[in-house]
Amino acid sequence: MSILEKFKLKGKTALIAFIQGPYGKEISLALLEAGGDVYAASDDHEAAEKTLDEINREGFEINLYDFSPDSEGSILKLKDDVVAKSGKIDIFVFIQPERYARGWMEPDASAIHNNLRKNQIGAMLMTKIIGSEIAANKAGSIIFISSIYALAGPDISITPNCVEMFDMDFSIDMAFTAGGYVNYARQAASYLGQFNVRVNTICTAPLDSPAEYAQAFSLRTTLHRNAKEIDIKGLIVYLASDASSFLTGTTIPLDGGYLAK
Amino acid sequence: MDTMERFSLKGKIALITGGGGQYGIHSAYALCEAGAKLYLAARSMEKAADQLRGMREKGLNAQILPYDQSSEGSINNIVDEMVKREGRIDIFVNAARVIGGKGGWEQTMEGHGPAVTVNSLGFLLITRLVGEVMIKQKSGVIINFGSMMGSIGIEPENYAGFPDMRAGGYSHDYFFNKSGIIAFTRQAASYYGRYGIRVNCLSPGGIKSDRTPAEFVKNYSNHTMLNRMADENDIKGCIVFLASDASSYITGQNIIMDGGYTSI
Repeated sequence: MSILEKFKLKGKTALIAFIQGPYGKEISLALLEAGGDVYAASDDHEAAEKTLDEINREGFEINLYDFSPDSEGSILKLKDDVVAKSGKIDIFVFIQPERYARGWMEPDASAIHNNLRKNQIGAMLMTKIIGSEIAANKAGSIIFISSIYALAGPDISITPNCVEMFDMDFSIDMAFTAGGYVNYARQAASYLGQFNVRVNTICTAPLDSPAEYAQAFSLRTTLHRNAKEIDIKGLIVYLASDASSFLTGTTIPLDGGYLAK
Repeated sequence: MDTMERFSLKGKIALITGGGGQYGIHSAYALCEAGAKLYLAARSMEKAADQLRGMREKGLNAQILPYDQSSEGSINNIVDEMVKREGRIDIFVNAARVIGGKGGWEQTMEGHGPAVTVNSLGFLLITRLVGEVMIKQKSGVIINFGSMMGSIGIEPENYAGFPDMRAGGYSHDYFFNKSGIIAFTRQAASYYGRYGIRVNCLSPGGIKSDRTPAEFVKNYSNHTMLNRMADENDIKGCIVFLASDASSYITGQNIIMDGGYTSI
């Protein structure tokens, strides 16, 4: 078999959670262009529809399912609905979702708890339920889309004049959950390995930041540029496909070399 | 200053949460022996009182404060109480946690809920509140407890002959939580650095207790370079180092103290 054949996703079904999140559109397009059948899940119907419209303009159709990330019943229904339509799930992509509240001091306990219910409990419940479904087929791939702040603290010198980015980089629960995905993926890889299911994490750089921040950030990468959404396409297809069939429990930064210095 | 004096914690005010637990109590001995004035915040007053009796027998002392990290009121109270009594917190050891109900891969929402409330939400809230006290004093040291299991998944072979332990090892919260604590440590160190506050994480490997089965100790030790599990003295040395001026240029770090387990 040609090596290029191994990258193909023909006959594979992918489910993407929080498709409206960072890189969601290009992740979907990449999996579709590789031949996969893609289903989307979201807790924010309106935002997800906007992403779906953009994907539509590229000539692809995706089914969208609404769900509540902290409800076991809702995730079970999502899984059943997708399987009823597709017959199986082979690939699950969990995109770190948008927080309800940002900042270090501003979010009160209930706002932080809401963030955690979505970002942490949601990730654990979905991995258990969707992961077990993939395991039933004895092959598959789970990919967490986390951030570089899982692996390094945000650089405070980049943000002094950019309140919006400061509040994002220093959201009290941001690094905690971003970092959580990294080792949770290793743990899930350890458990799901017996069923030939692989679990990996991509740590992404920020997208679409304001000019001053973008300029400062780009200078801290070895490629001297900021991330573009299409940068993820090659990596997502690689991790989702049989081309990476011995790769599991790993963390791959997609950061233009930001963490390499 | 003499190098050895830099390890001294004389005159420092220290607070440990999870004071009745394994990490908490070893940290308590360490901070006390190095001269700190210590407050032990504990959920089980009975357990903490037991620990304190042991400490007193060795000529050490601490104050016990009731603490429940699942309650925002209790988190606020403990910090208020520290400010009322001492006016400052120089050293904060963040060691409180709960186990999320029935463990294992099949862990349900009933387990996730309390675990996330205490180990994620409560952890962030107490750190942020103590951080505010330290910002005012423009100094302070925060030590979080991660785990070697914040950097790797489990090795099934360690659990050969112990199916229940193995099943429990696949709990969802622990690995997410410990990895989260390591990443949060770096973010908090970046946030608090400008105020002269250092934040580090101590990630021990498995600690041997008198309840650890011998066969498990053997399996586990085989995976370390030093061919043994960690003991209390391993924790104590690292805690004093991180809490003291001996580590004054170390911040945002995760010290993996695992006998070489994760380096093989």
